[in-house]
Amino acid sequence: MSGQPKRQKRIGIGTKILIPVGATFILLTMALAILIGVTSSDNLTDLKLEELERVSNILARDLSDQLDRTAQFVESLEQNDRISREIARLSRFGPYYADPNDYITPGMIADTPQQMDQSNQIFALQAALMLVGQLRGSIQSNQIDSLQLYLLAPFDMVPEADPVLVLALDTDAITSVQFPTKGTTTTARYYRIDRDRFRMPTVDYFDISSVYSGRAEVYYDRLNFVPAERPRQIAAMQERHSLLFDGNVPVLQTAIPIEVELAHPDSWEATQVQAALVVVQQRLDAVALADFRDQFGLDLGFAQDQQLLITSMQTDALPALDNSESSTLVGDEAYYFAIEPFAVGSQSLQTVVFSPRADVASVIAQLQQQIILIATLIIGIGSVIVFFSIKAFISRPLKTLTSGAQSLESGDFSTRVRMQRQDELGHLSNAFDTMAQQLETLIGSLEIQVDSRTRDLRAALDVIREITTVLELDVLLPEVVKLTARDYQPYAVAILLPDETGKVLQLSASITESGEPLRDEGALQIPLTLQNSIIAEAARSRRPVVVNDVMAYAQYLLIDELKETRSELAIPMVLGPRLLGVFDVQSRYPNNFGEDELNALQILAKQTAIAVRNAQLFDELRHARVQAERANQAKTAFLASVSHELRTPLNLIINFTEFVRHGMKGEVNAAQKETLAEVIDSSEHLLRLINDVLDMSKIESDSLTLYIEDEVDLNSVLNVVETSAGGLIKHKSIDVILDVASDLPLLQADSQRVLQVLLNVVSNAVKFTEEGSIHIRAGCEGQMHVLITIEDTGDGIDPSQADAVFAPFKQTESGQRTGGGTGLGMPISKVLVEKHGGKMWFESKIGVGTTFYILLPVLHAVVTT
Amino acid sequence: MVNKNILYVEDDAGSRKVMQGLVQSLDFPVQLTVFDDSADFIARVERLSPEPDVFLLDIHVSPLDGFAMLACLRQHYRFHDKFIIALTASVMNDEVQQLKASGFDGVLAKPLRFQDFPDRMRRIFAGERIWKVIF
Repeated sequence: MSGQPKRQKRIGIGTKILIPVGATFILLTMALAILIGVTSSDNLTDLKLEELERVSNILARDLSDQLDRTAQFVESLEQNDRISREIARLSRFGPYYADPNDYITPGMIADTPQQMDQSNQIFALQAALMLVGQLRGSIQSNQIDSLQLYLLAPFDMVPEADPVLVLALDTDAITSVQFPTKGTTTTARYYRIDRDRFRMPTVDYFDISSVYSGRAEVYYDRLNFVPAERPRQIAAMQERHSLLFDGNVPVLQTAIPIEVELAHPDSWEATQVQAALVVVQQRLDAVALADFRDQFGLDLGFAQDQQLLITSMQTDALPALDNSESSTLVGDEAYYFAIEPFAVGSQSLQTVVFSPRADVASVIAQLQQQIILIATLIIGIGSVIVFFSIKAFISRPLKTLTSGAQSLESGDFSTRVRMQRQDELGHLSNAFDTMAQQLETLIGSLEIQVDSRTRDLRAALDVIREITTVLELDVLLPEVVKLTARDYQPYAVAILLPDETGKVLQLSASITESGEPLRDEGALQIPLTLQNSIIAEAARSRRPVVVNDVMAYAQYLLIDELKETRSELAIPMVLGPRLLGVFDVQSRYPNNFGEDELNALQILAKQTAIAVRNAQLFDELRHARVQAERANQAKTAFLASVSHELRTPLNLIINFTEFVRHGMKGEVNAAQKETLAEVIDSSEHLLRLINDVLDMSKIESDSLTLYIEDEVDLNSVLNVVETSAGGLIKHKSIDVILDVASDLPLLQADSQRVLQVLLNVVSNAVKFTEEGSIHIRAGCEGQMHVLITIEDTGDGIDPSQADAVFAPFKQTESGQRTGGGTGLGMPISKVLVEKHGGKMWFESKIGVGTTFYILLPVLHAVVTT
Repeated sequence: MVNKNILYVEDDAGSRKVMQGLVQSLDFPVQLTVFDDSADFIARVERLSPEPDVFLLDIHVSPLDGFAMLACLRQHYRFHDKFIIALTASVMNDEVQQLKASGFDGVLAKPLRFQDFPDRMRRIFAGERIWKVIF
C-alpha cells in the first residue's frame, strides 16, 4: 500500500478501449447514413412524380365521372312527371306551337309571325316558373353551375329551326324568356331575377280574370323580374358532351334532349317527342380550380396539347409543359408536374398537377434530418452497449478487484472476489483471493486477542450494572464472582472482606470451576499480618499482587481445596484510604495473568469496591431506620401505658369531685361547687390531652388503624354528638340543630373514630360560637358518599390562620385565646377521615361563621398512606 | 324497677370507692357486690345468692384478668348468657375491638362519668350492648 494516493486524472482501461471502438462505430454509422440520404433523394423524386401522376389521373377521372353524372341527371328529368308536364305546356304555349285553328304551315312562320295573346304568354311564364322551381333544387344537389332549357320544334313543325332558349339557371341569376309573337323567336324578350330573390309561384298564383286582362310584362314586374340582355349563347349542341372555351376557361357542356308527350298536330294523338333540350355547363374556371386545389392539396391546371390553359397557381406567365423532365419553372420556382388526358365528347382535355420541387427538397431535407437523428440514436445506443459491454467484461471485474483490495485495506479480511472466469482476469482474481485468505488467517489470530480484551471490559461492565441494582452484599458478591467466572473460566474466584476489627479478612464470596462456592466460605479467615499469603500482602500493600507460577514462589500458601492453582492474582478493593476487601482470582495454568487481565480485573475490583461500599452504606441506613421505627413504637407504647396509668387516678379525681359537688359528702356551697366544676373541667381536659397525644403518636408511627364495622348507623352516632354538644354549651345561648336525611345508608366505618371526629368538630364549634346556632346536617352525596356539615355562627377563621387549623400542635390565635384544646383535635380528625377514604375541609367567613365538611365513603376502601 | 344485682371485680380500692359512690347516686335501687380478687371471685361465683344480673369486670386485675374471668363465666352453664361488661382505662379502639371479640356485652370506660352513669346503667339493665366510649 503506497503512502500517498496519487491524485491525478485517471483514465480507466474501459475508457481506453471505448475510444477506438466507439470512433470506428460512429464513422461506420455516418457513412451508412450518407449513403441512405443520397440514394433516397432520387427515389423520392420518382415517388413524388408518381404521386402527381396519380393525382392528375384521379382528377381526370373525377371530371369524366362528373360528365356522366350530369348526363344521368339530365336524362332523369324525363322521368319527372311534373317537369315533363311543364315542358309540354311550354311547348304548347311556346313559339313553335299553335292551336289547331291557327295551324302554321311550314315556311309561314318566318314570314307571318302570329301575335301571341297575353294569356298564352302568362301560361308560358307560369310553366317556366314551375320548371325553375323544380330544377333549382336538382341543380344544387348535382353541383351544376349552369343549366339552360331550350325548346325544340316538335314534329318538325319548323324544319331546321334552332332551339329556342326558354330559361337559364346560372349560379347567380335566373333568366326567363318571353316570346311576344308566336311563330317568331327573334323578338324574344329576356327577364332576369337574382337567384336568391326568386320565389316559387303558388298554384293559384295567376287568377284567371287577370290572365285575360293583364299583360305578361306586369307579371314579370310583379315577380321582380327585370328586363335583361340575352344570356350568352351556347354553341355546338349537337354533341352529347362537348368542350367549349370561354376565353381560356374550359367549359364542359352536356346537351341532352328531353322527350315529352304531346298531341300530334295532325292526328292529335299523344306522341312521345323530343320537345326540349337541356344544356348543362361546368366551367373549369378559377373557382373550380380553387375547389380542386382544396380537395387535393396541390396546385393544378388544365391543358390542351401540352399547352396549359388555366392553373390555380398565381402566375402571369403560364409555364410550359413540353419538357421531358416533368419539371417546369413557374416564375422563379421549379415545379414537378404530371399530365393526364381525359375525353370530353370527341375532344380531349388534360389535367395537370403541380408540386413545387422545393416540397420534395424539404421532404428530402426532413428525411436526411431523420436519418441523422436515427444515426445519432444508433450511435448513442451503440455507444452505451459498447460501454456497458466493456464495463461488464473488463471494467467491472477490475472494479471488483479494486473494491476487494479496498475492503482488505479497510479491514474486511473475509473479502473474496470469486470471479468465475477462465481468462486472465479470472487468474488475477484467484491470486487475489488466495492472498486475502492468507491475510485473514493472519489477522484472525489478532482478533482473538481483541476479543479477550472485549470480554474483560464486558465483565467489568456487567459488574457496574450490578452496582446500580443490588444493594445487598449477600446478593452482590456472589453475583460478582459468578460473572467473573463466566468471563474468565478461572480455577477459582474469591472476595474477602475485612471483619469489624479490620484486621482479619473473611472469605465472603467464592466460586470454583464446578460453579460451587468453596467449602471454607464463612470460616476461612486470613489475618492481615499473615506472611505467606499474597491476599494478605495485597491488603497490606494496597497493590495488586500477581504470582504467575506458584511453584517458583517460595512462600506460597496452598489451600487444600485448591491444590491445582498454578497462578494467582490478588487485587485489593480500595476506596480512598479505606480497604474494602480483596478480590482474588486463581488459575490452573501458570502465567495466566498478563497485563491485560490485570488491567481489566483491576477495573472490576474497583467497581466491586464501590458496590460493596454502597451496600454497606445502605445497610447502615437501613439499620438506622429500623432503630428509629423501633423508637417510635416504643414511644407509642409508652404513651399508651401513660394513658392507661393516668386514667385510673383521673377516674378517682373526677368522680370523687363529682360526689363532693353533688353533696354526697355533705353540704357544699355555690362557690365550692363552682370550684369543684373547674377541677372536673381541668381533669377532663387533661384526659383529652392524653388521648390526643396518644393518637398523634400513633399517626406519626403509622400504627393508627381503623376498626371498620359493616353497618354503622350514622343516626345514632349523630344523636350522641347532639347530646354531647348540649352538655358542652353550658350557659351559652346556642341552638344545636340536627338535620339528617331520611335515606342515609349504613356505613362501613369505624364508628368510634367517626364519633371522635364529629365531637371534635362540634366542640370546636361550641368553643368559638358565643351565640346563635350550630347546624349539623347529614345527607347523601351521590350514591357512594355521605356528607356531614357542621355550620356554626361563630367568629369565623381568619384566612391567614386557615393553614393552622389542620396543622398538628398549632392552634389558631383565637384558639389559643379561647383556651383549652390541645391543637391536635382537628389534625387527628382530618387523618381519621382520610383513613376512611374521605375528605375533610372547611369554609369560613369572619364574623359570619365556619362550616366544616366531612365527606365519608359509604363503602370502606383500604387507604394506603 | 325491680332491685338489680351488680357484681363488680376490681383490685384498685379507689376505683371500688368510685363505683360505690356512683351506685349510691343512682335514683333506682341497685345491689352492688364487690370482689377485690379475681381468683376469689371465680371460686365463689357459683355460690353467690342472689345471682348477679350484671357483671362488671375490670380488665387489668390479677391473678386472672378480665378476659380470663370472662372465659370462665362463659363456660359455666349458669353464667354463659349473663350480661358481662368490661371496665377498662385502656379504651383505644383496638382494645375495645378486642373486648368485643372476646365476648363481652359492652364496655365502661374509665374514668366513669358521673353525668352519664345513671343513663348507662339503665340501658345496660335494659339489655343494650354499649361499645361507644366517649372521651
